[in-house]
Amino acid sequence: MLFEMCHCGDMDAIRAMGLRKNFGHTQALDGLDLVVDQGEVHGFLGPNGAGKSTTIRALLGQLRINAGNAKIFGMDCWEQSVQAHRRLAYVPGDVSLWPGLTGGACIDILGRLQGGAHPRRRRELIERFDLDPTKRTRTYSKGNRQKVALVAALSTNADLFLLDEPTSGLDPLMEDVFQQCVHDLKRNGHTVLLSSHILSEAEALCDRVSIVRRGVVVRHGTLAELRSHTLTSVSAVTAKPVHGLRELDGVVDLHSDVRPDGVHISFRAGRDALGRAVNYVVASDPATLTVEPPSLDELFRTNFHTEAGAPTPVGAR
Amino acid sequence: MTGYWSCLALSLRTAKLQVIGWPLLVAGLVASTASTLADTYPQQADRNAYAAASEAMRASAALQGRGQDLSTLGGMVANEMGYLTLILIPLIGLHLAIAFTRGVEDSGRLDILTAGAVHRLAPSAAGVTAAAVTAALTLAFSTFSLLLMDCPVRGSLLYASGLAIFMLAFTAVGTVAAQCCRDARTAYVLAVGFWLVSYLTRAVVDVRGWNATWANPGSWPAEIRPFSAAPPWWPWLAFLAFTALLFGIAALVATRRDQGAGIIAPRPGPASAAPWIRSPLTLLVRLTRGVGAGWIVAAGLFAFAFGYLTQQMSDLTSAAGGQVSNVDATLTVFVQMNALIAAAAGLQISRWLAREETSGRIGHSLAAPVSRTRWWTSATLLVTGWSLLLLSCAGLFTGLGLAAGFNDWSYFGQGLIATLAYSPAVVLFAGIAAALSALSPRLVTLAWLAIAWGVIVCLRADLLRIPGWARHLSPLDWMGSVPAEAWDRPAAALMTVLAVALAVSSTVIYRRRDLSAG
Repeated sequence: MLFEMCHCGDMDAIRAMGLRKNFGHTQALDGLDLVVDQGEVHGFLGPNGAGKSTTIRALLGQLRINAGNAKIFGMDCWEQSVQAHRRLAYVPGDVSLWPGLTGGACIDILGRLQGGAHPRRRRELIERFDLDPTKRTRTYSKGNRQKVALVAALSTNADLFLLDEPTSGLDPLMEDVFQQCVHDLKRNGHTVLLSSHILSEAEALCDRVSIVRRGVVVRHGTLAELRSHTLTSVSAVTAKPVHGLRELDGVVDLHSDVRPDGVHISFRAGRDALGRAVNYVVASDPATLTVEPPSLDELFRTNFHTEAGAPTPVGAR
Repeated sequence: MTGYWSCLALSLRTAKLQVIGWPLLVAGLVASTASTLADTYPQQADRNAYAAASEAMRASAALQGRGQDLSTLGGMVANEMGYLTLILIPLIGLHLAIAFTRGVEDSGRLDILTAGAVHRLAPSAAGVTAAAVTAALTLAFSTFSLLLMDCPVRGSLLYASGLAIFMLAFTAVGTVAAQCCRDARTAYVLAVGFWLVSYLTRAVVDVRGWNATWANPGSWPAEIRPFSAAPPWWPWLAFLAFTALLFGIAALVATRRDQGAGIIAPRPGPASAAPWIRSPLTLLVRLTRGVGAGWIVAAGLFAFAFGYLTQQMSDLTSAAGGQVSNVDATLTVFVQMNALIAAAAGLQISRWLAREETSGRIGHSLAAPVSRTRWWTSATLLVTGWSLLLLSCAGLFTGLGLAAGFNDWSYFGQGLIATLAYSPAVVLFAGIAAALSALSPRLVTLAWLAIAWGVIVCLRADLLRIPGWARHLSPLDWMGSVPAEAWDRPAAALMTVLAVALAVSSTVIYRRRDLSAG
């Protein structure tokens, strides 16, 4: 087993309430709430510039928030940042490494500042991520710089991992390695806040997600909870026309098309109408029937597509 | 070369502040020097007296180059501008060349540009052209400044052209360094090293009066003699040949190397960090040891050379009947320069630490259980420590140079102790840099103004008749002119207290502000 068990108290890993932060006239965080329970992998999703990095930098005590309060394991993120940092590890979204040093040296230095990395785990992670630690940092690609930061963070024994888009430069094989590492962390009771806009990754890893838009969390909960607010897609080919769907509340986008092989029908239904709607279809002797839960992609799109015309949100820097 | 013109337009637009700002600064200094000299020496008789006095002060040739045609206003301006010409102009030239070529390549912007329908070398060629445009603007603005002061047209044009071609020659030096080195920092070290060697060998040649000015580009600006009756042509040919040769070498390297690489492939390094790097302070020491060592070598060379020349310069001054004719007066200038070099090194390291913040690396490091107070204290200690180490080394080498020049070891201690007397001023400079970078990493650059003013007061206070209160804006002036005068104890104590106060308040500010990236 790569990671040690986590021994944590009963505090929330992260509890941020009403965070506000403005840079000049731009409001980067506008009353953001974020609660991450211990032992969960929490997805922090949102489009570019929604305020994900600003939130993480506020949690790290790098930014002084204008209003609200943020605590990590019950410790104030600004006043008690050093105590809080003893229990966390961080992977920045834009990893910059010291020029002139090698990747291995950077890993060691970050680990030592953190209070000591696990030598065996460091070795194993370098191997798993297929990283050459003797190369100078200038010659690393973006993905390799991210691997350095990941190895440095994952080889410490932190309780909480703050990962800011950690895989945006990794190839699919390394993405798999990363997902295995997060699964291992979770199995051992560590908490992870995973900021991402790669939805398949969040879908594969996260217990709960918070979706942030323009400095506010607009949706949060387990994937099942979030799905319950959105529509399930149903499509079928039936022997005879389906009756009753048009009158049913909660059924939208209904398309029906009579073809030689049967009636092609497709619609989307809300949580309450789904059972009855499918019953109608079943009553019409379906040859094929597909019921598709909404993917996270779709959740994301329904939350943001309507905002296409809205002014561009602001970034953290 | 496809895309050359659009790249040139881009270079000029993104760096317009530098392309216009440097020529304006140079022209402004030329104009202010010329108007001061015209006011101070209005009649021809005054100017003849200046020429005679300058003959007596041949010592200053070590720092500012040989003076020529000193009984004309133009010749006086050229002489008094010697510092600027020999130090500022080449540094601007090589800085622009490196910033516009390798700097762009380092940032990755070059990859984006050349991915388009742009010739592989077009962005670099455009960058060099933008540096050349800066030289051309320097020519235009400086000519205008001198014409305003009623200098002769031909002389003004020749003098300003001399500034421009000297700048261009060092643009060529910078271009070669930028093409050969893997990154901009190494290129700066190489190019500045070349300049330093050129400057110091010129100093030796000028003080010794050797007839070897043809051998060194640093000697050529004085040899142009723009305000003489028959200006020689050979310095121009020398400049052109030197510049063309270097640009040729740069082009040859550029066509043969990979984009993003230098001529030496990077070697693999150790797979783990040295065991002694375990705290913010040791990390910062590791990160700055290269730049610090470079400063020690440069300051050591400078201090030794001028320590060595002190004896000869004092003799020359006394022999010519100069008013101030003792070793202490000459030495005062050099030990003050030592202090300014130490302060400049501290400031450059502060700027370097500011870049640690803007790159986000400090944010990454401070995600560890390291308090801001601890980080900031380490950074302030580091800058102060490097400044004081630099000052000690410069003092040591001034002492060694004095001992070698006089062939008398009793002078060794004098050079060292006189230099160390300026420690409080150097610590105050470090405090100023700390206070500015605590406010914002971008403000550190402002501290260069304090250093520049220190240089002007150190070298030019009497000539420019700078009033006492303005001289006092330079911390060095508070100390008194050691060793010519006694050390001012209350001032030293006050400066130390002030430096500590600045360091403490900078810590308070730094703890309370946002980090600028991370």
